[in-house]
Amino acid sequence: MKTKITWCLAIISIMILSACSDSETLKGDTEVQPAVQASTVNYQQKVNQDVKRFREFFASKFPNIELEEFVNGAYAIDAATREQWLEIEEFPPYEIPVEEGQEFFEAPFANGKTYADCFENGGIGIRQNFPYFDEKTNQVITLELAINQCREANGEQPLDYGQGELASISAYMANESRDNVFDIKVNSEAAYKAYMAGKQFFYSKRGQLNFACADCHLKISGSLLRADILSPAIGHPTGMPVYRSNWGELGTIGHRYRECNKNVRAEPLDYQSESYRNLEFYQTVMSNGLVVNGPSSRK
Amino acid sequence: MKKVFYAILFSLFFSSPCFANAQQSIEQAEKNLEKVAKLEFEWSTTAPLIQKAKKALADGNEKIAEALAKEAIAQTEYGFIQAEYASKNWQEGEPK
Amino acid sequence: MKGTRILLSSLLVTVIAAFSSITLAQESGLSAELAQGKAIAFDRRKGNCLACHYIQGGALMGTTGPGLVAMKQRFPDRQRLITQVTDARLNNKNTIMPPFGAHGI
Ligand code: HEC
Ligand code: HEC
Repeated sequence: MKTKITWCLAIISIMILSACSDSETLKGDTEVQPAVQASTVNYQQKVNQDVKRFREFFASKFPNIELEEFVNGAYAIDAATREQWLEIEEFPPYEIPVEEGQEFFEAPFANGKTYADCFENGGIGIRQNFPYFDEKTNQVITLELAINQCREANGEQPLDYGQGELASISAYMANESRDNVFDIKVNSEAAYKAYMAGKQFFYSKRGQLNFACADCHLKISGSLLRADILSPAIGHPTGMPVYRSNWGELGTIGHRYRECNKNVRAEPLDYQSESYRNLEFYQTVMSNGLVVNGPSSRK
Repeated sequence: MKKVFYAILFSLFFSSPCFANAQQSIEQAEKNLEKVAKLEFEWSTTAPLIQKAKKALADGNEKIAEALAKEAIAQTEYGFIQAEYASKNWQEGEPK
Repeated sequence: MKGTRILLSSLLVTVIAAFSSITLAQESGLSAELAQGKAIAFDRRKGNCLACHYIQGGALMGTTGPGLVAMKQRFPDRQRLITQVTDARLNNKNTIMPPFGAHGI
């Protein structure tokens, strides 16, 4: 009897909840100013304050680590595995994919054009400009999305987003941009909305295990989860794509996002879904000021 | 009189837990799943539960199918709660 | 379903309590129950408590949560311990410990 009543109550509350879920409150965010104020709001300034607080958090959590070091993920903060990793980096496992990526990159499409025709500066040294908010199409454009858009504009089939040819091309383009500094801009209301959506995704608990990205990569970053040292979220996108020994090949940041979702038993989203692109946008903004060091390797 | 008796018997039969309505629960679970997926709070454990429920139903294990479908529904409902909770409280995880 | 979850949680609580004073485990007649609780606590698909907690006798343990030692002294209130395992959010709203009971993990 008691359990039945609990069930009824649960179902009623769910019904109320799901009725609310259609409203704007879930998708939107609470901090965006009303439209009348939009022209006077300096979004970049608001975002810069976020970046500052984010950095300060990690600076006080890991007081002995220089900011530039955070491009190295868990190896930035763990001396024990760092040694091993430095040895791996002497003959990096991503060297061959980078070479292949260059061949793919330079090979002409059926129409005679190449990737170089789609990108600024022929696609060389531009990794740090991605992802950016495209005011015309009102969405975040990641490097991987741009690569496939380039293919489709030239009558080619899009490539798989997670691993393989596209990851190699992305790796080559990152490699040609090493040490360039990320400085992703958020200077319109629409861009700020995308940024806030990514931020909300980052801090929302999901999956059966009820974890937010921020739980593992901010709150308890640096601690051991079984055998893994949890990397700090600052610098997450700089080393992408990444060669993971347990994957046995390069994977894009989208591949990583899907794996992290699955690990908490949340159904992963599609590659390059709007939410993942917003998340990458947010994560990259949080890494502004750091350099491109992709591709990279992890144990 | 006889008619009423049969009617009562009939409705008792269908409302009894032995005649669990697995099909209905599976449909409900699928509907909920679609909704929770749209909110991006789907659990990766739910779709497999529904598949298992369908298989159990096809194998004639109505009660097991019902239980599995109910579990799937519960998971989607926790997903709704997570979505609602996150929409209101996500800032709590931000560095202060 | 609910009944089994509470049962499982109680089992876990027993194992944690007992492991923190191993002699008690050997003396008491609870060994079958204990073995079952331990299996859950150490199983990656089930409790996977070791991902975050030190428990005597475990391997590859995480450091995210406090070590589960001397539980009897630290949790004189058994109900609070059960709550911690069934839904840690009730003890700490922003906990990162998964709600094992509530989410049927
Ligand atoms: C349960 C804990 C957990 C959660 C939650 C989690 N991750 Fe991870 N993540 C890991 C582990 C473990 C690794 C591998 C070790 C490492 O490099 O941090 C990892 C690695 C990563 C990496 C690669 C870091 C590198 O240096 O190569 C990125 C990027 C990442 N996670 C992003 C995310 C995002 C975004 C989310 C939220 C959608 C998320 N993670 C949620 C545990 C988690
Ligand atoms: C993802 C990490 C994680 C996992 C997995 C986890 N816990 Fe915890 N646990 C914590 C954290 C963090 C705390 C600290 C209190 C808090 O934040 O709620 C905690 C606290 C506890 C406490 C209270 C200890 C004290 O001294 O206050 C107990 C008991 C406990 N956990 C038992 C378990 C059991 C049993 C399991 C496996 C079924 C488990 N935990 C799995 C993270 C975890």
